[in-house]
Amino acid sequence: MNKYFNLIKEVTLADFKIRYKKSLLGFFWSFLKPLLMMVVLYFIFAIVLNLNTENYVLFLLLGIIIWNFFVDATIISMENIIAKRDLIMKVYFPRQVIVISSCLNSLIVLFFNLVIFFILMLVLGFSLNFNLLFFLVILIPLYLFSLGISYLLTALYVKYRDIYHIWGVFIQIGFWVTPIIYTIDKMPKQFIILYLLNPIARIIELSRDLLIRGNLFNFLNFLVVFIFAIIFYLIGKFAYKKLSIYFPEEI
Amino acid sequence: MIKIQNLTKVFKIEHEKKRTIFELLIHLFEKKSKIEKLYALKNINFEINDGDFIGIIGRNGSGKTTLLKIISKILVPTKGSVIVRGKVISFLELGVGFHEDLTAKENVYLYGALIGMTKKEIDKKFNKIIQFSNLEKFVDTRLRSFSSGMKVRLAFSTAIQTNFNILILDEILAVGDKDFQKKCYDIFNKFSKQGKTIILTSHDLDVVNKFCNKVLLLDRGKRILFDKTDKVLKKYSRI
Repeated sequence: MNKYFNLIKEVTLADFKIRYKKSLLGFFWSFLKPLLMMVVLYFIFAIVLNLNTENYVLFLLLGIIIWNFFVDATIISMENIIAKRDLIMKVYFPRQVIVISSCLNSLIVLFFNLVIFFILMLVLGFSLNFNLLFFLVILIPLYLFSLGISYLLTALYVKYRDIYHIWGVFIQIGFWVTPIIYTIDKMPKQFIILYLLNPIARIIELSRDLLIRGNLFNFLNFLVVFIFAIIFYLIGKFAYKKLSIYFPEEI
Repeated sequence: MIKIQNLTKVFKIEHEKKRTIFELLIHLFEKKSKIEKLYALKNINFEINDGDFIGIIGRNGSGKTTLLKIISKILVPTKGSVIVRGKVISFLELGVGFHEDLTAKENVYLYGALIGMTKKEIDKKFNKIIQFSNLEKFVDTRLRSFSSGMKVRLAFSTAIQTNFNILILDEILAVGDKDFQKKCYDIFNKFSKQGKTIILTSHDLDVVNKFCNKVLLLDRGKRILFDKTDKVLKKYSRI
């Protein structure tokens, strides 16, 4: 067990170093990306289209940060499996480590992005309260769900290389059907099913409830998300375990 | 101890491999595309005891590497059973797991973790690793500027510091220089005396003759002979 944790730690750290070593802006880029996105979307929706929501900047940024984590985790997992092709063909080690460490790398970025979000909150006159702890609990199903989807995509990606592009299209659609640039109360009743079936949407709205709207922790809603996440995690892990046995031959 | 019974490994070679879901859908209603079966290993049986020094010889494509990969658990057998008792360290290619953008030290920690070492173990053995590899001056140098010989030395030095029972080497020592080769052979002798099992493939029959007590001769995936070194080499020289 100790060895396994060390392996995950070392691979995660190595991935992290490699990822930011070659880029001009380095790690700074991962802060810049959600902020740039926020500025552009804020300009379009709040100023050009005159969407009136109180604290829109915060709603927007929190949505973007959570969505970006999910997208990053899945994309990096798929990219890493190919980047580590040589390793897979020549060294025996638990294959899950590649996906776990990819998702952990996105988690590191998520935490740094959240610091920016909290600073912005304080600047806008919000105070950080007890709800912050509940928010951290919500990140557990967010991580598990993302890990499960990443497992699934990666296992398929090794066999079918167009999964990467299909997923790209999926993400584009997902960005609009998930309440990122809008809040769920703006959604017409007949479309609410889209929201109910989308764990990321639920996680974003739960987080907004806690941090921005200052609502009490909705345990029932959390439980639904948690069960969703566990199911996807287990399916993903199972598929990955079954298929990763053949990675050295297929990749 | 390694016990291999009726081991068969088949690789499916699809001549029109469907690499995308799109292709899969298009070809769904077609007749099955031709899949050629390549028997990399056919019905292999043998047993290796603790402390054996085994050589595996045979021409290119005889299944040597496939067999080593199956013993290392990288590949799964198509048929048959493979029982391996003890921790296996396999060294199938130079410096895999190494990353050009990381320093020698960072790479040792990464590779060490990949082959199952804890941080404490690596901490404890780090100096030994660097000493054996003769790379004291390059600890904080990025691997980008290493020669291939240096990478092999670093990887090999790390691998042998683990607490293994079975060491698997695939044509590895062809790269290092004479001094390093001698160092390796010395340590192989030491491992043998400690009761560790070593399996190596080599085209260099002198090496096989010098170290191995038993040799497995493969040809096109079949076991031709598994016996004492001199007997197998005699037979091999005749074919």
